[in-house]
Amino acid sequence: MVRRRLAGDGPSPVCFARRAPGPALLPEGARRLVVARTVRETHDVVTLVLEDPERADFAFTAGQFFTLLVDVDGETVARNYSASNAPGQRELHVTIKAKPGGRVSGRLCRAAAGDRIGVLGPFGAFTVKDAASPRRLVLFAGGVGITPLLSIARTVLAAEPEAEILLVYANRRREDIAFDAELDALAAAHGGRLAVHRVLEEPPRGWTGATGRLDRANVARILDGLPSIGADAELFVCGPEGMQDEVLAALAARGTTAIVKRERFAIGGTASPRAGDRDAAARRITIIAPDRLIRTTALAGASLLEAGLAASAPMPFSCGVGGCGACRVRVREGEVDLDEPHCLSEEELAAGYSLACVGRPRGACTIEIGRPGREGGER
Amino acid sequence: MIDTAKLTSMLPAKMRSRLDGWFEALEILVEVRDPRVLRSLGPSGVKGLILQRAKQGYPTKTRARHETHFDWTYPADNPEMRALYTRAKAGQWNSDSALDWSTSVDPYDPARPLLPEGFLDFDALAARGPKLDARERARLIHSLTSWMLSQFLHGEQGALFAAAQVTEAVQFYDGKLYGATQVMDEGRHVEVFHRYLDEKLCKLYQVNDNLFVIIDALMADSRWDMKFLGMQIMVEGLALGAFGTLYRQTAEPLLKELLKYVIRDEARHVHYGVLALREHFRELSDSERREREDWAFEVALLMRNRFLALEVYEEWFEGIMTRQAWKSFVTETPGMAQFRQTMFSRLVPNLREIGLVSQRIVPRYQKAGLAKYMNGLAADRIDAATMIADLDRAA
Repeated sequence: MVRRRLAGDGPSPVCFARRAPGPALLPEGARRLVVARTVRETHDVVTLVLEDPERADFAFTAGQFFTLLVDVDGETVARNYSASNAPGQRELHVTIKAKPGGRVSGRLCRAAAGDRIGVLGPFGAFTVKDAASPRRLVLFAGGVGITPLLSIARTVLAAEPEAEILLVYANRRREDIAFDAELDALAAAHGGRLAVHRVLEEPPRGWTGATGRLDRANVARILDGLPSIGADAELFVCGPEGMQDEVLAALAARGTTAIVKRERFAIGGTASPRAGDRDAAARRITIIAPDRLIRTTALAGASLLEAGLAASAPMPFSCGVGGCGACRVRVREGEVDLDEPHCLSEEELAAGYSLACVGRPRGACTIEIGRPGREGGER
Repeated sequence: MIDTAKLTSMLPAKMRSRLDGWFEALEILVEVRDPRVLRSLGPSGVKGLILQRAKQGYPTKTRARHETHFDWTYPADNPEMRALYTRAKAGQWNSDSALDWSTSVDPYDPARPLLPEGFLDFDALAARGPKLDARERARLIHSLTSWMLSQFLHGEQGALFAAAQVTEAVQFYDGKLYGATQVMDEGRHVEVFHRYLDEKLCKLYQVNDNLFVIIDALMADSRWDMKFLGMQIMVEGLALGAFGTLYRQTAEPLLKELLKYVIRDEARHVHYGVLALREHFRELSDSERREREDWAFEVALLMRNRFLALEVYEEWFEGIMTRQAWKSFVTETPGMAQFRQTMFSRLVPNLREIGLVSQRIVPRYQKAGLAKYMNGLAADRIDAATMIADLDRAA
């Protein structure tokens, strides 16, 4: 903590900063859902139970995420959150951790019954395939990365009477463990087919579970104490990037040949720059949409996507972190800085494509967006 | 004395700012002369100033060690407190109906500014580096107002729990009845400050480290009179001064009305502290009274540092100007200087009234530049209506 603070990476002095909610136009394909109730899972984790006023069931595959559209400071900001319940219900549960100073997460964690939230999705391939024979899943969760894995566990345990699941679930402190009681209840309800191994970085006195960070040495130690992972097991990892890398390295060191899927649940590239940043300034943006021309201003540090949505442009997008390419646009004039990492190839970059979600205009610029459902920027 | 500025001057700006913050904290702790005061404030100082426990995104847990005082005979033991209780019952107000929450608040409206033009001396700021255009100036004023109200809110949360503890621990039965009304008052203050920040200014800052240290230390202290001294006299006393300054300066009608209601309550709270402690401190031994005198002085220094708006500095200017430059700017800029003037002109007379400004401590107040506030009226000599009328006249 001290080292982080010395490096200038200490806690933000601001808990939240936003503008009052106002009616926002939703992009094509989005649904406006209603918060039916909220469930406080831990001191900083809240589950929003969402319902569709149209009364439609939520069709998604366990492990997928939804894009929530939230009004912040007059802009519509998109954030991805995995479903934590099983699919096919009248409710959609999305679980959110409030980050200190987090504009969007803080706003969502203070949502109340009756609030309306725009939602796109489902998206993502962090899912289980149908199984023909009994199978074993091994799930590694770090913090709020538990959410898609919980959805997977709930779904598989209910649908496959012979499936077995091992969950290694790491948190910093005891009070950070979300769904603690639910996991015990789930294990008890399925006759021991779900085994949960909790790991705490800062354990309380008397803690008998595993301890320490989920680094490769610790993962190796934990796996040593468990039945071996067969080559046919399916492995899923969700949590902070560093933790995922460590788990994958530990598995590679053991020569694990099983299929491993990882999910990037952390959202990057959308934070506004600190006030006072001399480089940050508003930029004039012209958006060539299929049926009209939109001129707007990107606020200091805003992405092309944020600027476009704020101007009600029909911006195509999905993952919001530069990973899927759905928001690809062609830059006709001006220069755009792209946050790393992103999924554009050298050829696409050379052809003048950019990604709206992680692209920030360096000055005045003109971009071209495609029709929904077509490749971004294609005419 | 080690020249810490020289020591850190070679470091990158952000690292230097963080280290300067720690050196400030160490200087405060090292300057404490009474070991009993250090024992009282030290653990909270480390928790708040060094480890910044309140800023890690976790709820803070503080173990209380006071005794609950029951009296099954229900004596009428303090007529002044009984009278205050009667006034407090009549003075309750409903935050939903008393305030017009439909008021539209535009933090950038020049016709109804949150703080007056000239509150911050932007030329003095520019001389230290940052040159702000008109929009940036308006945003900085919005941030500074949000920061002040955030600290009021955090202080009110501390006051809510301290009032509950004091109600348990106080020795006067009439004081307990009055204390119950104060718990309600503080709950309402938390509600209205949070609602205003959440719905109108849409910005909330973290608790200031110095404020956290005071709240944590007095919540943990087992002695009822220290809780009284810390919360009723120091935190509430300074808050009363701060609310008064903001009430006088703001042109935003909802905030002005909100502060008017809060000031009426706060005047009772400080009065209660003076009533409870004046007699009690006369009965203490010299050694016990000296400890409280030193404690009050150290807390006054922490409170003075609380109003340096370092959270605003960290958000806006860290890495752009030095921490020292910001502190000198805030100390000299007219609006903040006015704040300190009003705050300490309310606090120091109350300390004098309860017998905690003896000749022994006066030189330390003089050295800290706080002795000039000693001749004002204490809270038991000034009621809420007079205070509001004074503020309206000064506006």
